[in-house]
Amino acid sequence: MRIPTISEPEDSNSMSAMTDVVFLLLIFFIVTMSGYVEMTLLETSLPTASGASSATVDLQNSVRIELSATGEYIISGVPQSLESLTRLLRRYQRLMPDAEFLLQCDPDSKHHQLVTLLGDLARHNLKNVKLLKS
Amino acid sequence: MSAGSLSSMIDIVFLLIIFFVVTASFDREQIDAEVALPTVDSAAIKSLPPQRLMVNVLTDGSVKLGFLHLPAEEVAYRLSGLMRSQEAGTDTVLIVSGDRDTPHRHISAVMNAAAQAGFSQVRINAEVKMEGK
Repeated sequence: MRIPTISEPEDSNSMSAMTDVVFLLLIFFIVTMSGYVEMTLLETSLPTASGASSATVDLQNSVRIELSATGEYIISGVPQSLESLTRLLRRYQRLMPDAEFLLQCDPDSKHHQLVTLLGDLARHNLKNVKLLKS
Repeated sequence: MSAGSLSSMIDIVFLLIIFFVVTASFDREQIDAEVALPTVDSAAIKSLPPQRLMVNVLTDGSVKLGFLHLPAEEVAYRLSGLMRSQEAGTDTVLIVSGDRDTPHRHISAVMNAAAQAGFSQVRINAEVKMEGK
């Protein structure tokens, strides 16, 4: 009885396997790279009533920052540009690193303004941040 | 091992890699496609807390909680329900992923609802500005 011989795989087979692998690699890189966004979590407190917190706040060691609906940052009644705010935060970082920052946002202010402020505070290592009820 | 079986094994290995990459990045998927996160220059906290609940707040104040699309007035009820059913606890960190143009009143409403429901910790989600962007 003759034993049937197994024929050698044709070149087209290896080509199709390579195409499979190439497409899989392509899908892999598309899936992993296209939606890649580095994210961060900014620390804050849940909103507390401004009246209630003022009873426990050390006024000497607290800074109140207001966010207006027009996008201005107001410290002690004085509107600040983003640059001057950054300068002030740098000063607070040097002189009052444990100061408490009370953030009062106008209900119509945009979320990105608060995030910019929280990001700035975090960048200057100012971690004692409280959000007041608007 | 023949060339045919090797190629199918490679196929399976790559499929498994893709599967694990896609499932591992599920936290990114939890951020709704309609939400354009605000950007910051620096990254403060990068690691995700082990117990967390991500809440997407859209520009109109409606909230997406996983696959649920909730009107603003139902958020407090739903968060309280999660606390009652112990799907979330007091150690669960609420991650607020608000659209960059969402008025603060909507973000504040979600945070107030969370405080009423019994959440004690909150983080605000932001996208880190990439170099050269």
